[in-house]
Amino acid sequence: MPKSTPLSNIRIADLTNVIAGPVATRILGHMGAEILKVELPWGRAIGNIAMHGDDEEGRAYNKVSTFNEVNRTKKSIAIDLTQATGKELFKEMVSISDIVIQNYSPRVMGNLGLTYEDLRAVKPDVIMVSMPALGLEGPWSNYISFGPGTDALGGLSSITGYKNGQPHKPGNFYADHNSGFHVATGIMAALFRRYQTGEGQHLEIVLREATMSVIGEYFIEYQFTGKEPERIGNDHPVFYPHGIFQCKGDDSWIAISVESDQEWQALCEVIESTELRNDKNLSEVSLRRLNREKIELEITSWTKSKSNKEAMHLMQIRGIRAGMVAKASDILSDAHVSERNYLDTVEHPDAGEYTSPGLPFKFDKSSTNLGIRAPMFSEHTLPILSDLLARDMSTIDSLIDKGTTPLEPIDRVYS
Amino acid sequence: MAKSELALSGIKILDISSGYAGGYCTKVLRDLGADVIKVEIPQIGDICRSFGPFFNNEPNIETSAPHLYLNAGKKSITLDVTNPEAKDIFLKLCTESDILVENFKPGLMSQMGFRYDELSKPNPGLIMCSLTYFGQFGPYSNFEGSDIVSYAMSGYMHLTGDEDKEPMKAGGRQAEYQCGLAGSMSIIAALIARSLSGHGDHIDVSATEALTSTFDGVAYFQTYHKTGSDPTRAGTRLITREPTGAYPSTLLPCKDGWVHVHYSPSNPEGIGFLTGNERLADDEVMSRMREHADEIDELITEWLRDHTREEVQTLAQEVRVPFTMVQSIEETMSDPQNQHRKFFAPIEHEVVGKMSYPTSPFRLKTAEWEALPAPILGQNNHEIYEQDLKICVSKIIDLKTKGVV
Repeated sequence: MPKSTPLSNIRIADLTNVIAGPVATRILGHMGAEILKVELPWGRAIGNIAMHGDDEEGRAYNKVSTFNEVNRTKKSIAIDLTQATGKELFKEMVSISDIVIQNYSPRVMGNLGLTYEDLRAVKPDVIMVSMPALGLEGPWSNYISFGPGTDALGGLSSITGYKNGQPHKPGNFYADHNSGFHVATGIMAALFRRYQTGEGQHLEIVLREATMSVIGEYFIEYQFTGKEPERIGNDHPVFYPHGIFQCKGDDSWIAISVESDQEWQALCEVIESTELRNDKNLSEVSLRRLNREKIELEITSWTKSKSNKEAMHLMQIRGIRAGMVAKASDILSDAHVSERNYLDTVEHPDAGEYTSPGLPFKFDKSSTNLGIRAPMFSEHTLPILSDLLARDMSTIDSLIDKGTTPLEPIDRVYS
Repeated sequence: MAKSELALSGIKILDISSGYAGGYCTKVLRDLGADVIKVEIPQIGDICRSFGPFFNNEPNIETSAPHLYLNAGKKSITLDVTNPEAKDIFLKLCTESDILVENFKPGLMSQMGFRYDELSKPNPGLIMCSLTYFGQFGPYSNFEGSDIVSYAMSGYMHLTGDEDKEPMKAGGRQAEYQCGLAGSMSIIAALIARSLSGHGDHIDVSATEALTSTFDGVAYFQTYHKTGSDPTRAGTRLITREPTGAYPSTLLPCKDGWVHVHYSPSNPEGIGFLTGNERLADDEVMSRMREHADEIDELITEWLRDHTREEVQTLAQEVRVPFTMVQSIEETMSDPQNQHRKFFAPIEHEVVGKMSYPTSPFRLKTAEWEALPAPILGQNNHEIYEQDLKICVSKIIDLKTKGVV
């Protein structure tokens, strides 16, 4: 029996921008859903926070790396939703879609006349997804924030940092991706329920709440101790040694966590330190902690003589939890990553070939859509208008002329 | 509102995993309405029960913070599935479940006779999800892992921390949480596939890959291909360093702590307006923002110095500039937005008493999140073994003496 994708008969009208929303629909696109990405008429909003968008030949908007990664698998139609005809087109699109998703700040959909109630009127079992930064309701609901700002408001920055250092944050857009994955999860759950009951719903998933959910234990810890958790860098509250050690080469490191006395013994043997192994004062974790300097010196004197890959393999052979602090080039050339066919490489007419992360899971009996590039701006406007929305050529020409569905980005008018 | 309102109402989950990843995976499914039975090692239980911190600072398998958080609302039975005498009971439980979540090292389930093909014979709709640090196959599949090791191998560590210091791990256990979340996401996709095809699936989730998947949209690999050098950590700034890239996005100190300051593409001149500093809206700065990062930090800090976090946030948000406070754990729990949304809910637990718990990002307007405590180890043995599976009491006593139950 040929494998099929889990969401092969699902269509999504996607109004999301930047990262968190597009990441969610990108996942659903890999699962087989048809994603109709409704683009703003003035082009790609993330152009100015992206890289490699500059271009002398023009069409720089098709070369925005950020956009091209998070919008793989999707189709692009540009619609000016502030025009009445644009709104009508969008509603028609909703009437033949299963899901509508948006990540505007709470006021926008109401201002556009595209609330859940409005959309339910054209598609009674629609699943509508809102993903505000802080919530659709409440005293801070109109505050705007990107992902990293919710790390700050949600406690993650407060518990991240070097020992005795300032609050910090994970590099990148951790909160955006984390919430995007929560949203993809929530959407599929709502779809599953629709299969059972025939009913849609308005699903709200709040960026900051997704962040707080992946550090939940700290809120209970605070109530136990009455004290703020300390920032501990790479330390572990229980295990020691636990951290990273410098290896041979530029900015080259290995992470090691020793979680039992047997692992400690094995570590001493691998690094050929009879001094550490025979030291009865170090046989227990509580004692080891008191001798950090000595232990770290011994481990580092060994790791510094090895590349991080070599050190990792030597340690893993002896059952020690150790892994290189990988760089992009390490991952791109890694035999494990390659055998698992994890990366997703696509060819794009304007942007060329590019490689992005793949899916974080593998099915055995279902297939997934990988290797499908992001669309060029408004690339699918014509087929969507003619095939899905049954507009004739003269109507389509007029929509393009009036800027309702532009084929090229038009100058942005700030209102 | 009844639990039957929820998306996964009626779905039965058998969770034989131990630790954060499986804990979060089935917490998400439970929050979405599924019934979760945790299968735990007799006497010891889930490994999270042995991690502190503990209530009153006294080690106790019932009072560990991660256990109380992750396992709230689940049922617990004790069964050592690695013991051959547990096999019959385990197989019976599998035939009555929709989903099996496990996190043994790759190959161990097969060795015990629990290959997916075997388990799904009597229950073709069974969805089995295997959570590991490196996946079920590939040269590293037998590596020993941990949260920090996956964080390192995923590439994330190289991107976290200060430029002139060693790479750093984010707070908490993000590799394990992302592994669990990827598990819940894929399990629900498999449930949808099952509604259409009737057959289940075996899902392979790697914590390391789950974390690398969070590099989507940061031009992580593209930067290497285009510049020949690896993206690297940039303190609290974003890792992209294109001179023309947008800025700020960083943490800066103010009068009473730290704030997160961020550029808004829809309000490019907002920061200049907020601070009254014309230089921050100057063309020279605006056209090459990332290149001017140090200067921008300095100018904003000058303004921040005279304002508290709350003032900064209020003043900035009034003019649509996305500045937010760095809040402590305590402040986060009690801020007006979380209070209004009731994101934290009280739960009474028989050992630790009443505490406030984070609820879930998956709450419906129509249904309250069901605030139930984490189970006492083996709390549901009687209910599951005697009432549901109809195993006779003497057999259970026998298995208990042998340490199987």
